Amino acid sequence: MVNVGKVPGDSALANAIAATMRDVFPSVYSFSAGEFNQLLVATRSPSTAAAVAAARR
Amino acid sequence: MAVEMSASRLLAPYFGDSLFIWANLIGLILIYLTAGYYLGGRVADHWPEPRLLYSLTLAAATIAVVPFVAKPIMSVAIEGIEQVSAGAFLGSFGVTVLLFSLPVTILGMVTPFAIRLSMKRVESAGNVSGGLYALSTIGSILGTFMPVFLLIPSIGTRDTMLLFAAVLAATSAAGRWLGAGPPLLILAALAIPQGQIKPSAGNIYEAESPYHYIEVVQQPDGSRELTLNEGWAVHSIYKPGQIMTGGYWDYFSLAPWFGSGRPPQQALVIGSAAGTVPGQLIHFDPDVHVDGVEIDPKVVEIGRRLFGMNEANLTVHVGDGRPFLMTTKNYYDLIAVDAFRQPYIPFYLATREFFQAADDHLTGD
Repeated sequence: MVNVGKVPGDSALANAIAATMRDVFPSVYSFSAGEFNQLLVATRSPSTAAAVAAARR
Repeated sequence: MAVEMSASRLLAPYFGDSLFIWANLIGLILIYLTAGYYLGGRVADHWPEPRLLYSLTLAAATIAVVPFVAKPIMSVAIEGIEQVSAGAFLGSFGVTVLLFSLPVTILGMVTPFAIRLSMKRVESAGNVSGGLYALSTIGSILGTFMPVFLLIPSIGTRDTMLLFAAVLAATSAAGRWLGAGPPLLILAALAIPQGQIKPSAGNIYEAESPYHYIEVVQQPDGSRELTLNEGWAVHSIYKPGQIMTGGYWDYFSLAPWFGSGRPPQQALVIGSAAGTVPGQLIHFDPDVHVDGVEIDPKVVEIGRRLFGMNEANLTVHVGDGRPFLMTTKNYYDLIAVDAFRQPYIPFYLATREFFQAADDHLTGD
């Protein structure tokens, strides 16, 4: 899990880092944590957002 | 070099110490030296007087004034440009011009002047200029290593600049120009109380380390925030008796839910700072062992002293995150990266090679 600082409204850097992580990990999730932070989560097993959400219900 | 190293520390509390700030600093200093070399050569040819050379070294000792006028100038600059997106770049540019143009240009005049005065015959030009350039470079080497490894960590930025200014003034005194008064006056300035490096509301602690200007601010509700350098980002937050912070740190404890949902047994936090993320991981999963990696030992010390970072199952390693990951024999089921160096995450913690190293040290899903 990686915290990426950002300028409000601009996720270009986080998107670029997420793409780099995707080169290594099969699944990468990205979500905003306030104006200045974007969090990226990579998993070693392939998964989908729907599967992650369903597993938590 | 001593001025340049010290200047970076003066700028850091207000503008940070990113690559952009260093580029400003080094580039402008080189411009001033270029102007100084050119002027020094011309002046020396017109007035080849030793008294004038010693006047130059005395004038360059005005760097002693810089740390005293820097604080108000940088305070005004940071207020004026805080709404500009390239504010740190512009601010550091303007401040470097204002504070260092005159003394560094004068310092640049010294070497060509000394060559002119030492040159007796053109047949010895190579020997004289080579010897003086070697001497000048030895001075630069000392000016690089002494402030960084000895003086700034032990006596701080202001007094480091004062000591080097006193050396310049003493050079003039050795040349029998104005005697010992100026260097003694500069040394007497060492006795002036330092005061706060960067005055701000709620400041309960500040320090300079080889890596950062460090500040701890206590809010009216008793919570404490750790900021570094220019202070635009809060690196750790501590709310006594309260585990959730309301900030981005809280999300790291959700990481297992993207995989198996099982709590981690071994976790690694790169950029553990004063312990906010490790503290939360341990709170929600008391059986986890956390390795924290933090580059600045002073930040670790502050974490233990002011941020309650004293969990028994937290081991903090002082070092850089990537070399740690490349060399550790440990394996983890969660790796968290929370490293920030203005303006963004350090680039070498965001490469394919780094993420491959992370994958190599992960177990499970």
